[in-house]
Amino acid sequence: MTYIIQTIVIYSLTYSIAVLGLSFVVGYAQIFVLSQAAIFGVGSFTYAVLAGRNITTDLLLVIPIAMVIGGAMSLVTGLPLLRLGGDYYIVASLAFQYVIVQGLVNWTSLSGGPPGLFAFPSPTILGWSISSNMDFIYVLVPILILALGSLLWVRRMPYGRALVAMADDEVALAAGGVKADALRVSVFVLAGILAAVAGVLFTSFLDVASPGDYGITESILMITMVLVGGARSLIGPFIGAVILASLPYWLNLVHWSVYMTGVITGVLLLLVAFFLPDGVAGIANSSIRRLARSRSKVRLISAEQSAGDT
Amino acid sequence: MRYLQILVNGLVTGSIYGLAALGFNLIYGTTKIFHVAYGSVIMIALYFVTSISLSGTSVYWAVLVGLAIAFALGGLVYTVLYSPLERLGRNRTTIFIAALGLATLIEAVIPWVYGPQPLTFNLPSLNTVVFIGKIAISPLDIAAIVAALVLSLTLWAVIKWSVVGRQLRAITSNVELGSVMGIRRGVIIGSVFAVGTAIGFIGLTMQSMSSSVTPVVDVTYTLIAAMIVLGGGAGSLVGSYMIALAWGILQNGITLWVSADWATVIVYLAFLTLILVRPLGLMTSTSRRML
Repeated sequence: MTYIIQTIVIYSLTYSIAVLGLSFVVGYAQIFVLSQAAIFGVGSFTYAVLAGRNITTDLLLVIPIAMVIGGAMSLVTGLPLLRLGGDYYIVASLAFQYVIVQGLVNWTSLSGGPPGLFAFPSPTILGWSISSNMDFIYVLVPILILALGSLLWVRRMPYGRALVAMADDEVALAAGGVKADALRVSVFVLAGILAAVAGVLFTSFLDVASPGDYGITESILMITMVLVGGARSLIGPFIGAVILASLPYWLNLVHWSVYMTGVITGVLLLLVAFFLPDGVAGIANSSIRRLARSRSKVRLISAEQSAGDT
Repeated sequence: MRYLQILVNGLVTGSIYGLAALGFNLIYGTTKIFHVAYGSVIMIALYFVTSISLSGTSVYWAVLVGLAIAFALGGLVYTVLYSPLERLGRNRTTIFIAALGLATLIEAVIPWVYGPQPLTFNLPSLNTVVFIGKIAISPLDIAAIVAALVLSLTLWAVIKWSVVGRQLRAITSNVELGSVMGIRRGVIIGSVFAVGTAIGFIGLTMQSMSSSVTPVVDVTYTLIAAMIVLGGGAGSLVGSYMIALAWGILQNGITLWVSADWATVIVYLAFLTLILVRPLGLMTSTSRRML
């Protein structure tokens, strides 16, 4: 039982890291990215190749390497593609997603072809071997806190304020002298870097990297986590990841069909479109706002009454 | 002779992609709804056709029934999904999210019902290769080329000259004015979805008859249709037909000279390059637009 809970926690934490940056991209930069899983896969294969060929298993080395590769790939694709608006970008990101995964499948000498790579030495940090589930949680929690903290910090910087402004009024932002394109690309790169980090952690835990696991379905699952949780909050993607990341795992535990994941994802997306445009975090936000409004109304009424008394 | 064979094979593939794009273009060009569940909805009809034809019904009857189902499902998707969302005032991204949800749902339910294994039509007579000169071609291939050409021309003529086509162009350019003139947008857009889905069904059925039916066939079908439409210039029937044929020829050429594994990757990269060079597609000038 503890083992099951630990595994679910690990899945949720890993996917939270993977989609945290994505929430900035969807919520503020307003780009609908359907290639997040490909970058996640690139991170995965970074660990698989480095550890599988006995180059290094030290996460302090592997993670920065994955960050550079994931960030560079996002930069190279984001720089030209993000200029394209709306639907064009969606189609371009799907094509890009396909190219990366098919490229991995075809590059057999690197990726091991369709079955992928498996059975690596367990990851280490400065000689400490991370082997038990609890060890993984000890590694994941600080990384998630670090990622969350840096995103919060980014949002409070002038850069982050520009980001929030971009979501509201891009023209005003341009009038203020901020280049929206540059902002958009940098947010996209940030999301790619976090996805690559999550990919490393995912593969070092699961001990397998298979190109088929990073396809379009997985990208849709990731964007669903962001949308279900709520794109414009940092807690939102976390909620989404907790709900959705471990879904295949516990469906397997209760012996439900593997197709239930797809059914649930699809229904959740439809529900979001019809009833929850701001996600689960949106409900919380609006209820807080409603509460605040009713309180201020009370204050207003009592102020009026006290004015009438005198 | 080998070049000519590649050209012909490419035309066949391109014609099927052309049908995929034609249906998608009709929907996207008139409504601007990015109907990402396009292939998935068609796949429902396709699976029905495959299963009843495998259980012994004549394939021609099965396809006719499938065509009717595709037509009905297309209209239904607009009436039940997109139209209510439009009335709720949801933006285009939210409508896209709903479409993505529908596609994901169908992709999970189909393999659940029919199993994940590929199904094959048993059509020896349609797939028998005949030789015209030295070019090998099957009756199904000829049917694909003819169907793409005839349907493209028909659709073009209908949009250009018929009353319905004129109403369609009217509401595409100005919704309010169209409704003032008494054009019922719901009915017209509903039929656009129905006809578009039926055209797409013809393409996917032909593709599946010469290879096989798998529950993931819809993803590539929608993606290729969308790429061709955006690459050709949204709303331009000529542009997307040209891109589709070039796509088919390129893909067959690369399959022969490089490898089938890399063919799709290279063609997708070619698409990405195309939209970077011409971000609004090949044919963008409004005078050439048909919708």
